[in-house]
Amino acid sequence: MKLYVIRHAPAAGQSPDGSDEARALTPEGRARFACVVAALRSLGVRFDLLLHSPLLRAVETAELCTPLLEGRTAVTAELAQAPSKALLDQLRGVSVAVVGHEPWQSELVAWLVTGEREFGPRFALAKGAVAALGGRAEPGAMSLDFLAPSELFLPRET
Amino acid sequence: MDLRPTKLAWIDGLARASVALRRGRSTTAAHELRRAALGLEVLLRAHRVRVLRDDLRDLRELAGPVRDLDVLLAREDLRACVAPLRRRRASALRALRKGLSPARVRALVLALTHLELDRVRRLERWVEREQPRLLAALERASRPRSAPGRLHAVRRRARRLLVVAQLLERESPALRELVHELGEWRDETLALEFVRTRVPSRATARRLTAAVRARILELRSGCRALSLAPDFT
Repeated sequence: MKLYVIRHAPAAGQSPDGSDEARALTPEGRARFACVVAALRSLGVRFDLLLHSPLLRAVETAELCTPLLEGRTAVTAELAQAPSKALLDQLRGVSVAVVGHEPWQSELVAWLVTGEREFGPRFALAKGAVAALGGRAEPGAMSLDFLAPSELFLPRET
Repeated sequence: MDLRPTKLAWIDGLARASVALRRGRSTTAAHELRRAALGLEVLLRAHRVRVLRDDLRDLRELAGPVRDLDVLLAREDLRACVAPLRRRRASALRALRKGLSPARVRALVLALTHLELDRVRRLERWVEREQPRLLAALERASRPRSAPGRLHAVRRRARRLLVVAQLLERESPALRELVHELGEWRDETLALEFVRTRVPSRATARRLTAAVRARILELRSGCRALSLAPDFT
């Protein structure tokens, strides 16, 4: 399985109602992440399952990912908390993407690559960053193909 | 026009129906769940939002068999089959409850609550795009030898269009009547499919087959009339 672990794109510091879950992406965050999606698309990346957290910034980031979708999407509360066995059970498919939050996304990468969640800070994902993993979705059974910040996908300035 | 109260009412309906189904109060909850999920799905579609639609469709598909079996249980001509129908309904309800985990529904409700789905202009544009598609589907379904499956395509499109037309307060009697007639046809088809699996109900099967055929002919001519003189919204 190919697993793409994605942190949500840059979001506003505050939502209109003051709640954390209603924080929306900023226009710059959207534009930047659209470049990430375009770059992944040109690399031939496609998802047959796109899982995302229910928090607005993750929902909006997942929506921006839909040009890469060739299957279905699903919202899961497991991506708005520390990674668990229940989350791993949902990772079924050939090419799966998960859109969520820090520090849990880096904990997920660390858990799948090293078998230990506490190595999370070594795999820290900035906003809009993507980590690509390959192998079985079990602790310590995946290898890290790349971990790229969103800046890497931006068009070069001439 | 403010679409937010309707969206929030559908979200509330979804959450309440899920709780009622889990607690065993399922007389109308499966129907409410389907109605709310359809409304929200259409709202997402009209706003061209792709995420969350699969989650809502899953819930509708889980609730569908319960609703269908309720329709069959209410039929006078299937009185003799109440026991097997009740068994099937209990099994469908178990599957629905299994799919309605509190965490899943909470996540869906949270995601839908904060998503902005209140642009009237988007809905109007969607209606403009959808009407010619429904017309084309009506035309295909009205052909004398068209497969009955074509009517399913018309039904899906017509139901979605009706939801948005009602939201925009542009609902036409012709569209409402079409959706109603297609619903009746589907219920009869369901009854026929069920009766065909039962050996002692040949007379009912013959009567239902004739009723379904007659209704298909009626619907084809209705589709033809509506495709020639559309009056949707």
